[in-house]
Amino acid sequence: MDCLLEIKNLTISYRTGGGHTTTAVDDVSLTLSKGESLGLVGESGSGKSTIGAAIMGLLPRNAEIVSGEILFNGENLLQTDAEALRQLRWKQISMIFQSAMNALNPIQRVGNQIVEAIRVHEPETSPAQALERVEMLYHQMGIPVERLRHFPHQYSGGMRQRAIIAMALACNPQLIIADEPTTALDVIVQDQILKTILALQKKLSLGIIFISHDIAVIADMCHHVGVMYAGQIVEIGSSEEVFATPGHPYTQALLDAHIILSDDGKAPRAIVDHSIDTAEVERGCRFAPRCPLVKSKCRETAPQWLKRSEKHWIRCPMAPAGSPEK
Amino acid sequence: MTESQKTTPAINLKRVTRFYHTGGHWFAPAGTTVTALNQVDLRINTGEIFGLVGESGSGKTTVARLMVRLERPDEGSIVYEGEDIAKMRGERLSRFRRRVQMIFQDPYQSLNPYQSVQRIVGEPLAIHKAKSGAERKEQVIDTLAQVGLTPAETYLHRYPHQLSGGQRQRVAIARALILEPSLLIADEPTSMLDASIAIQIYDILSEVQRQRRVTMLFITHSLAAAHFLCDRVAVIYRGHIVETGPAKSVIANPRHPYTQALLDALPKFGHLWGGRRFDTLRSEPRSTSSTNGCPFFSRCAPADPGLCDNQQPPLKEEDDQHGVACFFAE
Repeated sequence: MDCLLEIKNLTISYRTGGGHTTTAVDDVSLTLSKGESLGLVGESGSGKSTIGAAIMGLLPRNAEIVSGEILFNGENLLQTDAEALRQLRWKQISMIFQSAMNALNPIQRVGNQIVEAIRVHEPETSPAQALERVEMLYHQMGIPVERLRHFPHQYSGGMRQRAIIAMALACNPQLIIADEPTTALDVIVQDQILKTILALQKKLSLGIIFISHDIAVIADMCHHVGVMYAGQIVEIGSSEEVFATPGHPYTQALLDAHIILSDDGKAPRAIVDHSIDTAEVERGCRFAPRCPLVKSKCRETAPQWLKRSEKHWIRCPMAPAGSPEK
Repeated sequence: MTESQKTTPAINLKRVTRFYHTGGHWFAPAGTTVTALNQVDLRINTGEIFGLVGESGSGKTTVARLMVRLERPDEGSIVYEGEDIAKMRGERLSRFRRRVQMIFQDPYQSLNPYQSVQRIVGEPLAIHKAKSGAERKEQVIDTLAQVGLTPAETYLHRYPHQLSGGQRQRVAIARALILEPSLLIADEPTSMLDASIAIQIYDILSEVQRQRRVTMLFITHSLAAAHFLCDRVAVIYRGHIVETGPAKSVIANPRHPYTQALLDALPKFGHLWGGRRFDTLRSEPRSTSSTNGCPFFSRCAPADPGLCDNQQPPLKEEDDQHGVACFFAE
């Protein structure tokens, strides 16, 4: 299948004042094919959102890309000049933000905002054509068309998030970065939004990078999953395989911490509450201080990638040799 | 839990109604009244963890605020250990304030950034003039250890910004526990935390409940969390309790269409009943002008127009059994 996005050995650090730097993303590589979705899952501070921002070219000013490449349709976005990147953004790659309230201009009618977004990126489109397209998008998203004339504060939270998605789709992008798109929403609304995203993805064969801390949402939504811990991807593979036969102890811990509605009353095990400063762990495995399987060599040498199956890789030599059973 | 404990209510809401007045200002001169809680009956038994489950805006935080007397009901009464809390004065009120404690949602906002952990946790003792300085410090250390902040001495002189979100919430729990309350109200204590940290908070809460036999109201939007932690639950929708009963029973056999819709909406991953669907949620809400009917009428697929929009279904509940406010639930 055609490769839409390829990230090679991406390392990003933040300057944190006083001459210190923190590595937020460390040697991350991943690929995404056209029409497929990849979920990035991990705790807050694991670097998932930084990757999303790097793809969009929207890193904060104190961030520095230390090394690596981000290839979009074969073109390295990190080498692209600002104007070309601006052209690419929204038209080819767009983003659904977490906070729908802050992503819309409160003093402009929502319809006008989306029309404007289209016209900025496609100056040849007439306002009438743009409006027609927005009406169609609203129809797809299940928002009444008369809502276009309303202001953001007149929308409910779920409807605002739908409008954000409509805006992200307005220029027919090939890739969407969805950064916790439903985190602030109630479960029924979340379910409706996720279903809409899934349906649109199939219909328009969108590539999606889906960033979330909720493994259940990722498992339901994504073809592939990358589990992130302290700036690194520690396990990557097809969702089905990773969640059925997790290899990395951190993935296992995340799954254990996920409360499920089951009757057997199996108590989840807790991960030791321990925030990791990446500067502390220089040589060994990042997860070593919290890992139940830790051996002395884990603290000495950084773990290498191990193949578990054709599409399932882990970064842990201690994981029980598991061949996918199911 | 023994039989006698099961039947003693720690706190009892009787037909509690609470209105909020909105508008009436520069932008919206005509004020409107919103009913945040409508004739809510809720009985929390001594020694149990009771879960109140609902979406944002359903009135669950209003219940918490009423129970600690931050607000007063417009109608109905709240009875704590046999006494109406609205009528408490003087020493009785002071005792109530000691015995009923609250843990707030956001540990980034509920802790004073200028105070050390020792001061934050010890402050309730100082306010209620309990114990001498040395004893206070000892009790702060004990309580910190109990919420898993060990070695406790190393936390005493830290400030909130030096703590992770999970540690902050533990400090907030320690602060709530230090007066040895009989009733603890936890208002979405984990909604700001990662899943792995949330689990630890649940573990602490259930450990505290087990050791101290404290009664707990656990407010959450997550049916899974309520199922995990609670003995009994109530599901609240737009200020109405629509279903209540033992947590296991309500979630394994939900009977109200709204509870069923909530379960339908959960991600399917890892759920025992992944394939089970109720399909009780209408895709297009009905328009209705009636305000007398069932609160879920406009979104309810199995509802009967003519009946459900004209009459409010009563909540039928016997003892601690499974009760439901729906005409169509057998």
